[in-house]
Amino acid sequence: MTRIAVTGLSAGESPSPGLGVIRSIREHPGWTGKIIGLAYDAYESGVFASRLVDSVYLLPYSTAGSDALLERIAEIHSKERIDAILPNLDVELPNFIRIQKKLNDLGIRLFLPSEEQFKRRSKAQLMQCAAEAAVRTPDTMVLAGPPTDELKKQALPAVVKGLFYDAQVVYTHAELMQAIHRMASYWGYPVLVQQFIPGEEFNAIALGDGTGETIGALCMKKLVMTEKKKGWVCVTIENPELERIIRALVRTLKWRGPMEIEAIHSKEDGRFYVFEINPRFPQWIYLSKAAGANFPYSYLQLALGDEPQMSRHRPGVLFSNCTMNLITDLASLGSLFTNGELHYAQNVHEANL
Amino acid sequence: MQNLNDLAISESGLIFDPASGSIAISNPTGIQILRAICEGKSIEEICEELVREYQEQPEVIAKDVEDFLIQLRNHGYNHD
Repeated sequence: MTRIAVTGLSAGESPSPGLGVIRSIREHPGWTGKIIGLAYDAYESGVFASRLVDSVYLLPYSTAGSDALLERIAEIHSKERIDAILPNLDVELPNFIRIQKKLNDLGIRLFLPSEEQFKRRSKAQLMQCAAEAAVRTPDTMVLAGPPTDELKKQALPAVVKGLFYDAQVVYTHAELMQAIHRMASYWGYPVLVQQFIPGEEFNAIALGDGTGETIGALCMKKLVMTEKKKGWVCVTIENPELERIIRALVRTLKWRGPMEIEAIHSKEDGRFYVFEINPRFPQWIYLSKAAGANFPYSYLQLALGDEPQMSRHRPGVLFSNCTMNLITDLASLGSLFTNGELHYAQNVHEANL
Repeated sequence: MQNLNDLAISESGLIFDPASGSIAISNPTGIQILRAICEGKSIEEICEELVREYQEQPEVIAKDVEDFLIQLRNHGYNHD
């Protein structure tokens, strides 16, 4: 029996990958074990998904640092004997990468990139990383501090981005300045200003084995997007050029673990421009399992030192996000608030998932 | 230009391009034309079949088929 801990349980307006990861693992015919949800807030919606998570534990926020994270994981491990962890959030990954070896010493496996690899694919270094892989990317300016008058020369429209989250398309220089200040006040510097390329958005995922080889790759297209450009209805596709691009990035970085790329297919020149490389599975990851290629389960196999058995995905498989009500009770909420943990074997309530 | 043979065509009239993810809907006649092209029939043969089936003037059919082919080209598909 395997015990895997999974983060990223928020399933609201901007869902995190965690529940999709958990569903993929649970639905694999080879799976037997326990799934432990790791959350940062008692109101992360997925903590109430009693048919997906067996237990939930709260973690300290990432700003508390990697020592605090290690201490908490060790405490949880003393109760749960975790075999593997699959972190799914950009902001927590630096901490998990930093303590990866110490977690290994405790007997907890992860399959993550090194700190250096993580930094090389960051938004701030995207242009350089893409150039090494012979992959096109929009021109990107990295602002380490408040903008100067130089920015008046910036071609418009442009996209202003925080280092981890958030992006805004701006059409005037006044908007550009406002967006930079807003982004900096939320996320700090650096703030990125990226060339806006008109076209359709495509995404791809891959699992790198750490030697430059790709265990599997899958492409998809967003058919319907939310206001924040999140994919609401998506379809798997078979696009050799997009797949070549993600494999080239995995090879160049010798990437270890999950990766997602976001790319624009330019209306002007018909080429793909990669505008983000995400170091984790995306919120649409369950689509991969539905299309016949179970990336999360393959991650688990890699983490445990097994040979992943991943099939090729089918194109033309669609998903639509939907909002569901997860019913819980005060006892469950109280358990999270007061003890920082929740166990579904002991709390009887109805849930929709 | 993309090849029409790469498209997935459903009985319900949905046309899916597995490379780009584009989805389009066509009526049964459009699907009939698409399938005939993929089977290797010439445009002239397709027009003749449609004239027989719909008992319509050849020039009307030819115009309708040409309009359909223009729509396909506008979507990036070459029937040749």
